[in-house]
Amino acid sequence: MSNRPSSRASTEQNGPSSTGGATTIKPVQVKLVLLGEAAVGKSSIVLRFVNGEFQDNKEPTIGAAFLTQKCKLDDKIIKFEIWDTAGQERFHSLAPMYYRNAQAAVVVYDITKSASLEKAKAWVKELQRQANPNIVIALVGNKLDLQANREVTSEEAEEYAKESGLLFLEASAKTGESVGEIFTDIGNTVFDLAKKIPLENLAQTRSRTGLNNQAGNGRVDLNSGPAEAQPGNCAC
Amino acid sequence: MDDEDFKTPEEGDIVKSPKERVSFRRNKGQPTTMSVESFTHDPIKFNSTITTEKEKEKESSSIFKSIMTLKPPSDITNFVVRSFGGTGEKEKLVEQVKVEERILTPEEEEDEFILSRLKYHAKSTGELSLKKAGTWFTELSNGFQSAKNSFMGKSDDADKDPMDWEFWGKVINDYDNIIASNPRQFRQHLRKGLPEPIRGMMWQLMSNSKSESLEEEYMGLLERQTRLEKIIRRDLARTFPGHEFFKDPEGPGQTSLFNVLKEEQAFCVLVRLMNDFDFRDLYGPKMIGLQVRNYQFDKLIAEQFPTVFKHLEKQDIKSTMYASQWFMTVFAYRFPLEIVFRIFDIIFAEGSEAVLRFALALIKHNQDTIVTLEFEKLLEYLKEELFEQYIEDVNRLIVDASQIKISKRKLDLWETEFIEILRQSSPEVIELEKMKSENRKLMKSYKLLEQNYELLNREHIDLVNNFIEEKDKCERQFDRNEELQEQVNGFKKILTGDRKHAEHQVQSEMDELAQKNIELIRKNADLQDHVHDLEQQLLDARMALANVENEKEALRMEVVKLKAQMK
Repeated sequence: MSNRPSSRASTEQNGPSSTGGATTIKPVQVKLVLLGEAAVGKSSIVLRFVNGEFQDNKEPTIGAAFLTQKCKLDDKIIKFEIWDTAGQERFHSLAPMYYRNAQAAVVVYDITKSASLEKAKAWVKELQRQANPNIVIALVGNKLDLQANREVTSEEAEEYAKESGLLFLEASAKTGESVGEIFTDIGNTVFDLAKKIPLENLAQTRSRTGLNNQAGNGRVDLNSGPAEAQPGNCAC
Repeated sequence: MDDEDFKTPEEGDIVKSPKERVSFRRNKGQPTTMSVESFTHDPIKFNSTITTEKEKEKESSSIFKSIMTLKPPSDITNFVVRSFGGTGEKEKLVEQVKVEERILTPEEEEDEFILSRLKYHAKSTGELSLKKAGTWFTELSNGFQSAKNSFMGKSDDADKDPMDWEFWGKVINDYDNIIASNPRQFRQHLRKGLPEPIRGMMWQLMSNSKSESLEEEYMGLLERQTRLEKIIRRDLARTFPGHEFFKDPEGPGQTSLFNVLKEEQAFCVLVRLMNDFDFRDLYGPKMIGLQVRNYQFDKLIAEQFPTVFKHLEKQDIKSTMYASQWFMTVFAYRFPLEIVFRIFDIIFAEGSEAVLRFALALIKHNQDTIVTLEFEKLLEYLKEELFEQYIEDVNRLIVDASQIKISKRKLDLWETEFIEILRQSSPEVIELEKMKSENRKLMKSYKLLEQNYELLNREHIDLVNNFIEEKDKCERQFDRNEELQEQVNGFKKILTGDRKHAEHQVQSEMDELAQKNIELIRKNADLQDHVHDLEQQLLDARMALANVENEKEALRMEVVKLKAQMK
């Protein structure tokens, strides 16, 4: 994959601007994928995280949307490259293309719809079976602002997350509550993981996962340029 | 422009009846031939004339053979009669060849293309009885009239937006014939966009959406609950969140969106789009159709815009990342609806593959920018900004797209190729999908056949009834004939039998009479003799009397003399 310089003048939430620190700190790229049932709020979470906005009645995502966001974690800068996938079942077959090389996945459900947790569990299973075995998965219960209509208790979801070794959070894209934490938690976990597993190994396991070897292996690839330069950073 | 343009057509305009001649024969007795001189497509209205003539006896089965082999009119051009659609492989081939030729020669071939498309839809779908078609036709005419009137009422200076009411009036009035005779004119008008007030009508005509069976199906579906209603409601507010018309949850936009399947006309057009324009394949569970489109699109870019293709490849951008939304929503996802409507105009005329031409036109038009951008910007540009330059000038997009040439043969080739790739990666999925799609197509042709069969059956029954009636008449006629013949024979017999007897009798009577006559003559002669004698006797008697008289006179004189002497 091409080693492509970051072209996005990112709206950074915290930390020094990447342009300023480009010579000293190179951002670590983390490819992240959002999965979950239709209309649970995947795009809204990303939109809140990237633009700090919330839009009622966002149109359904078709295929997948791509967004990036940088954020500072301690002394490091992470650049999240986010694939926001479509939740409708018919897009399912396209999902592997987006999660195949992802280092992190956010599996979203809607706390007001218990069926959406079941779908989330199915996604987790699929990821654990077919994605990068070291993928960091966060289970996120969205629509925390709709407490009154809650169908899924925190305990139930948390217990499942624990059993399956997932990060767990409840958040609200509408109010913005806990949205940033999703990404900082993931960032930290990815760094922790990188300390234990050499990136070369990650790359190998990744290439072995190929369930669909058709041309679409994700363009965001940790074994391309930045990653080679980053092991030191991650190990901090 | 005047009202004459909108009169409903006469029956004779609609149905062209070829000369069909069918013989019906009795299997016994004297043959009867029923010849159907003018046989129209409508089972109810067909004129038959009965003639009887001498013919040799034949098997009775030939009657039914003749009925079953009745051929429908082959040169029907009007949209109302299109029940017998042959959409076999042969036609597909012909169509392919036409599309291929189109690349070689421009104008005429495009006319041919449009015609073959529209004919294809006309043949593959319609099933409308004359009666229904008539009502539909009146509806259209009225709709056109009121659209025209309200339009005329609104805009004071009609010159500003010159809508060719005359042309569109003719098209609405006599769609098939106008298009068949003026495909180029139609094409040119179409590229200027269908006039807003009649767009709905035209889409219905072009997709040939009117169908009794669909309407029946629709009525049946209306009564049923669907578990999908929740999902439909969920998507209402977020289908066109940016569009003013669709913003208010209680407003007309979202209401009509919810009812899109509760509006008969929209339902029929949607079904046509899905089934006949093959949009259904895009939305299947595995979206094979969409993947095929993307694959074809990639190939087309590689072929026609290699620089762009290389750049996209280098930037690792796949068509699924930006073009899926074009193909799935026919550009409605991001493009202004004014553009989307115009694109639909063309799709209704040329088929769903026209979206590829628009997609390529967009790439072509933006290629200089595309090759300067890198991944993120490029993806955003492709998804959000490609159409910007066309917003002010939609006509240019239509023209640009019309100049993109795509070979149907290659599209098919790529489709096969892609399906093969998929088959190798996940054979079950593709098999299932293919079977589903085939099943659907078979279902479609089955339904069509069933409809045709039903129609044939109805015609058959009508014919048989008619035949039986006529046969009955003939039978009665025949019986009556036989009866009369018998009478005649009886008379003849009586006549010939009696004649000899009569002659004989007359002869003998004559002889008798002659005899009598002779006797009479004899008697007469006797009597004459007798009369003669009597006359002689009378004469003698008279003589004697005269003598006596004379004597008496002489005596009387003597007496007088004597008396005088005495005195």
